[in-house]
Amino acid sequence: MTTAPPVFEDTPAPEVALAERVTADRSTRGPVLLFFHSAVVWLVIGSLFGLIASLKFQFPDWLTGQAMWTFGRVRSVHLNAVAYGWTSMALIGMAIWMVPRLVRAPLFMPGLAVAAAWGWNLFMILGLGAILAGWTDGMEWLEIPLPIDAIVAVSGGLMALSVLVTVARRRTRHFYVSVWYILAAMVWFPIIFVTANLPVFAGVEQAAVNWWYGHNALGLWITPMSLAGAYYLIPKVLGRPVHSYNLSLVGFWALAFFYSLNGHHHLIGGPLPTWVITTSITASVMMVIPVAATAVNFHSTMIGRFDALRYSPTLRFVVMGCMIYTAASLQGSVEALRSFNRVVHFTQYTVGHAHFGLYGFASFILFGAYYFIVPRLVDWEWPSGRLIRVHFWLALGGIAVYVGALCIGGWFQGQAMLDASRPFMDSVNITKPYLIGRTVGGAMMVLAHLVFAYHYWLMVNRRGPVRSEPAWSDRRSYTMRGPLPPAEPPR
Amino acid sequence: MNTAGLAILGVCAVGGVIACVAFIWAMRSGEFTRSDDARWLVFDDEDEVKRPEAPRPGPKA
Repeated sequence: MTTAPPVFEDTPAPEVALAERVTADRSTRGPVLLFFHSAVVWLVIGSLFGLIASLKFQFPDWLTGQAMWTFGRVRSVHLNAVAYGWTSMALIGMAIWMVPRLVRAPLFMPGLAVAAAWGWNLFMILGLGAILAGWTDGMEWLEIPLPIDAIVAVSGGLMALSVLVTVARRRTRHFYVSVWYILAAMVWFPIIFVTANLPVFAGVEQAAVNWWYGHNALGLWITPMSLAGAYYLIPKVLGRPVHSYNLSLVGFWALAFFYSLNGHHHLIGGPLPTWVITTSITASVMMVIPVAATAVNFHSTMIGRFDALRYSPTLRFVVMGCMIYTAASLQGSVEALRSFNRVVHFTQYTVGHAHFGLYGFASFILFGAYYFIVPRLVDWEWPSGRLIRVHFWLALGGIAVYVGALCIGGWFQGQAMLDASRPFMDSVNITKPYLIGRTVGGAMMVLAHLVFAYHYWLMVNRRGPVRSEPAWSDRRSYTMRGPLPPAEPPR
Repeated sequence: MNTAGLAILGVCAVGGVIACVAFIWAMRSGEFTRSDDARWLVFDDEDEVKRPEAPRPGPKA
């Protein structure tokens, strides 16, 4: 194998740039499509299981004849399917597509990424099957048994090898901030995943490691990968570079230094040393720094171009995801404070917050990424602008109803639990109307996913009318295939 | 200190060393001081975005 010498040219000649981009896209097409197809399947399966779990709050005697359909197993399948199947596989597909473009080098051995995708799917099938059969490790986010975890460790290693060698063979002098986030996530996630799965912890130690991992799976894997997508997609769609590149690096390094200690705020009131909890609360509050840096940067990049949200589905989903990232992160910082946590700790409020972050932030950015990337993979425009709108509003309405209901209901639930003069059942009964809201919001999201999956199926099979411009384009397109706003003068 | 505490601190220490090495490498290789170059890397041939010319140096006193 011959290795091209690094050129380190950040502004290549147009014909060179074209050749490099086409080569990069060709190298990623197969693995990215495989990751994207798989992710959509796990999205539909995972969200259906979520809806079943939610319906059990209204119909507790429904599907109780067999152990595999009981709440504990169904809910765990939901979490693992959406966290590792949908979110992780879609994020990896997005990263594999972006990195070769950003470093102007073809993906190193695409076969490694393809093997990683098949391995990841095998992990999902065996893992979810094990949970349904009642074979789990018994820890949240770590339910899938250790022997099956080995499959995803190998798959992740193959995928990371392909991406890291691609970056090592880059033809650019600098890393774009998205590459920083992706590289870091691909180093962080294996460390936390392997450490948390070591079979040496028990009792309180196990709980400590469990939540150290559980929160970092979000903060050191899903969050950086999602932000990488946002930092790529917003400037691309707008045709305008990120407002402050230095601020984006401040956000990255602040996240790197503060996020890893967040997890133990899940154990406030538990039998852990006070300093562990206090350190975690401090780190949770310090997360305001990277979140504010990212929010200010994205907002400043968007200023003067908010009208583009009307014309670009990618931008609409991604910007909404970034706004929810800011809101959910600040909500999380407040939730980590002892005085607030005392009320909401064991309530539905936490469930609402978790969905706000994982779905409202990460999934919205991923939906936006699909709308941007897939037309370039299959050389076809999305068949229906209406289906994209239906998807957007159902998903947004669903998460709004879901989070709103659970945060309000969770607060009342916590107040009732803290009131010693009231019987415990008061705290259960008071949540009933809000749990209906949970099911209604969940059903809207499931419907959004079915619409999205159907539209995706049409797309990859190149169904629908032949279009010369995007389907969702009322007046003019802000996507790469149509006319773009003029470049900005230098700032 | 118990096993979990040692494991977490150990992982954090290794992570901290990696982060510091990465930070120093980034600083020495100009990732922070030449950010005006890096922010344009997101665009490629399919974007109709032209990077503005670098401002010319002003007249010397």
